[in-house]
Amino acid sequence: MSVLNRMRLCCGAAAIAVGLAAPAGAAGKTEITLLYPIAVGGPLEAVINGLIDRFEAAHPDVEVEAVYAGGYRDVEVAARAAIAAGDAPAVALMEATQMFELIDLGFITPFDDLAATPEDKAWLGSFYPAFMSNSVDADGRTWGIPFQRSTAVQYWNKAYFRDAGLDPEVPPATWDELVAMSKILQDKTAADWGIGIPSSSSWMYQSIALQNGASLSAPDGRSADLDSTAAIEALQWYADLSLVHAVQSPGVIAAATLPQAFFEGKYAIIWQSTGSLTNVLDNAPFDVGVGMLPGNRQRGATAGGANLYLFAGAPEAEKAAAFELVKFLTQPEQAAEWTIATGYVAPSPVDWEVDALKDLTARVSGYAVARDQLEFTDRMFATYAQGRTYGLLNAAVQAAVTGQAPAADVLGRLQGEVEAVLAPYRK
Amino acid sequence: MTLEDSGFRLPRRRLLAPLGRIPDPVFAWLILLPALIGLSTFSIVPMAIGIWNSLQGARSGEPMGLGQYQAMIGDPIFSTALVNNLLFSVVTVPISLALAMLMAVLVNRRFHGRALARLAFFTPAMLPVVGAASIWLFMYQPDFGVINSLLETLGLARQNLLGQPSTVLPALMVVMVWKEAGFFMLLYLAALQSIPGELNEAAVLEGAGGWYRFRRITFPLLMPTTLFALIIAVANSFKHVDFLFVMTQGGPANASTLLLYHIWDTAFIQFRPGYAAAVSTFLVTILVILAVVQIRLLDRRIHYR
Repeated sequence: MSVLNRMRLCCGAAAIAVGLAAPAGAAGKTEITLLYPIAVGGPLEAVINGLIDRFEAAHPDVEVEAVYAGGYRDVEVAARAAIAAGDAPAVALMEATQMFELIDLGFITPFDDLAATPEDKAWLGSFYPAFMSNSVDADGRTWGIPFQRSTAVQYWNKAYFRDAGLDPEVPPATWDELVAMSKILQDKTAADWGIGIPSSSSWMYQSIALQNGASLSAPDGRSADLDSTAAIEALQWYADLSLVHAVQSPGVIAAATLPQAFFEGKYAIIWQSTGSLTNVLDNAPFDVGVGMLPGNRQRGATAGGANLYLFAGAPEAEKAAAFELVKFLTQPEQAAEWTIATGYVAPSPVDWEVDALKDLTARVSGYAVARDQLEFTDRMFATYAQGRTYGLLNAAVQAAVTGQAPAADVLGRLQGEVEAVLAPYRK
Repeated sequence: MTLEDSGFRLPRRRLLAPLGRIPDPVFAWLILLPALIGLSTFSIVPMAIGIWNSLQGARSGEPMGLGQYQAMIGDPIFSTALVNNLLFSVVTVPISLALAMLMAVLVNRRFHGRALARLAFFTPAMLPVVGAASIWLFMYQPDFGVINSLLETLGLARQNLLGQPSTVLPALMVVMVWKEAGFFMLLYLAALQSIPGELNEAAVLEGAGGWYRFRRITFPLLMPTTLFALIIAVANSFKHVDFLFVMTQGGPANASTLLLYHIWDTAFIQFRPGYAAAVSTFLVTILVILAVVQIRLLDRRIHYR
């Protein structure tokens, strides 16, 4: 073979190689990764995939790889690992309370930078303020878009209410009513306990504190106010439900097994996330009432759930595509579909105008309760170094609920510990 | 004609001849090389990186030093985890091994349904930890769990065993013993079957009773297995914390937190890799010391055949 022939052959091979490689690059498709968790039961992966397919059909230039990463914590670990490896995902669904920690790590980018058009800006302002309280920082920048949001609601066993001679349509509206009605229910029905408020995390305590007018963390996430009189009173009331009034089972109540105990008639009233709404309504073998949490100085329920975050480390083209994806997922059609499939609260008032959701709220009143309660809903405890402060808060609540120490002592110590953790963030 | 002349072995010799010229020490290292590469990639280098990380300052810009170790010693959750873990090991390891030996001796005899009994004892060891933990979570459930229903029929008050700081650790110890004993039973069963029958027969002829034979023949001959199982059981009592994720998340109020769970929490929830590396280094040091002490103390008393 001559030298010339050899060169021709090489050129030919190279041309073929280029030709084979071309389709991926030439079409100019932007590939983005969406990391998401599933925190409640049900075939939700199929729902997500359906939403993604519709998005891709509307945006042929974008290809979304939706990665189911496990629980909320697993998504965070997966995102951190990907970032450490230099391959940041474009967008992820992570806990709303992680916002400050993610800002501190430099992982996420504010939506304001990408919202250029007036429509985009209007979209940023279209969500319930109660949910945005865990999505916007003290300077007004939007770091997360609410998705898969929840609040806590009160579920009660209507049959027991009838047995006890109580009006099955009227749940307790104040703390005192809650204790009084729980006593009656416990005495006059087969229920072992009047009330069950899960204490495996501090989420319910945050709602109780809010009902007493206490906001536990500052909007800028740099300080906490955990030992105010209102907060101490709230925690002591929570602990006294089992320690003094004996209307709640002693010890820490696990959120995971509480619905099952409710189904078996062990509790007359329970507090649970709206994320369990579909599960509770489908599985309880009796008539279930769904209502707002009671109040003391005011009604109150903390928000819960997740935000969609954009990652700073993704290339600009991917960020732009991810921005479109987030917009798409929070459009009323999609948000309503997600709410119907899960029971999570649709994050924007316009979502509730979608016919499918309107039908559902007309048929099952439970779905509207969470929406109506948003008026009394405020932000969750969220600070910098959230992993540490939240762990300390959970342990403190459990120490008080199990009667290891009075609420005043527990919260006084907690305030010192949390302030020590947050001190570096105030420099 | 000698064998040398036949030519049969010549090609072979030529093939191996270059190997013969390699000096012995070099040859030994060459043979060890694959194992060394594996060990260093997956154990030694990560361990060195871990120690290096543990010596970094808590915040960027801080000089290298023992700051993370000081933070560790001053952390009340670390002390709780350490005390819990030591209690956990001291209680679960002897009970697991004693139960394992008992079960092995029981199912080593001939009786009807022996295979079934062996299977039953070994089943917990085959279950995935998270699955087993989920089962126990529901069994311990205060309102409808099996254990509380039993307590109630016995006329005792129901207990929220996982929800009270005073009972959570014992409740988890039960799960650990239940899970581990079956596995060690398997080791003991294998060891029992390698004990020569003549020894027992001779003892029977001499008129030795069952307990005497166990004490003088079976138990001593099981000692090599016991040492091996002891080291593994102690390491497991520090390593196997998967059930905490399902059952208590270290709660209530850190009453059931163990060292490895504390490491995971500080590394992946609190994002303090340096601190987590310090606790990991501490944990590895404990395990190495415990293993050395056990081997030194027991080795002299063991009768190896």
